[in-house]
Amino acid sequence: MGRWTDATLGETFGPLEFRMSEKLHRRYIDGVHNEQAVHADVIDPTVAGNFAIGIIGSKYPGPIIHSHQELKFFVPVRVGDVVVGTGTLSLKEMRRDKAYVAVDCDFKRGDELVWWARMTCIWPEVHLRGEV
Amino acid sequence: MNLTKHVTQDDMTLYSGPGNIHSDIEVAKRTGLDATIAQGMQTLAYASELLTHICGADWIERGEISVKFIKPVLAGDDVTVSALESADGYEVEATNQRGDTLMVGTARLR
Repeated sequence: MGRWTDATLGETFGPLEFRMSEKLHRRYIDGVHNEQAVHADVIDPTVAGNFAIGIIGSKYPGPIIHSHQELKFFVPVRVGDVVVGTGTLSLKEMRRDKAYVAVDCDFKRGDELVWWARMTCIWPEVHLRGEV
Repeated sequence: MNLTKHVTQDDMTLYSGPGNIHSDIEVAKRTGLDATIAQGMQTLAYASELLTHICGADWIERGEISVKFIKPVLAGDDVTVSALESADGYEVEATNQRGDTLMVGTARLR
């Protein structure tokens, strides 16, 4: 995932553009066999959590251990929309010998906030050796 | 109210894409895992489907959820997500066929 020592509280990520293609939509609907009719063309808003992983991964790529996830939904997003995500590192601390970071992400369609996400993960130990 | 999903490796690969700990056993082993594991967001997506069933389209526009991932989901698992009404919304939980708790949290409409 990169170097824990490089991560800085308050550092920013993005903006990253996410295009809501039919292929992306089907991946997140068919992958969980979501049968809710509203998702004929409305994106499953929990993808904001997946995109938050991509946002922190844009600077610190590699596997994460997903610990907590918070999501808030504001506006339906549909196939064909473009959403832009930005993130801020809101937490960096050791708890019981584990290194936690959180990234807070806003997702906007134009100027409109559509989703908010806080993704908390544990920096994998394999990447921590010799660093903390 | 609850919802049960049988999780297959094909589902995990479709949801998370190829070449990662969710879809590729070699990548999983290099990360110290014995098997591929489902992405936590996949379990959260099951909960969101249940909450959409309960709350309707309001969930898409006013929903909030906060969860903690506790144990990994493996291919072949049956995952049951439940949403029990509480004073402020719903207590959300996911368990597997062995009775292990996989995810806990809360959800509500603003």
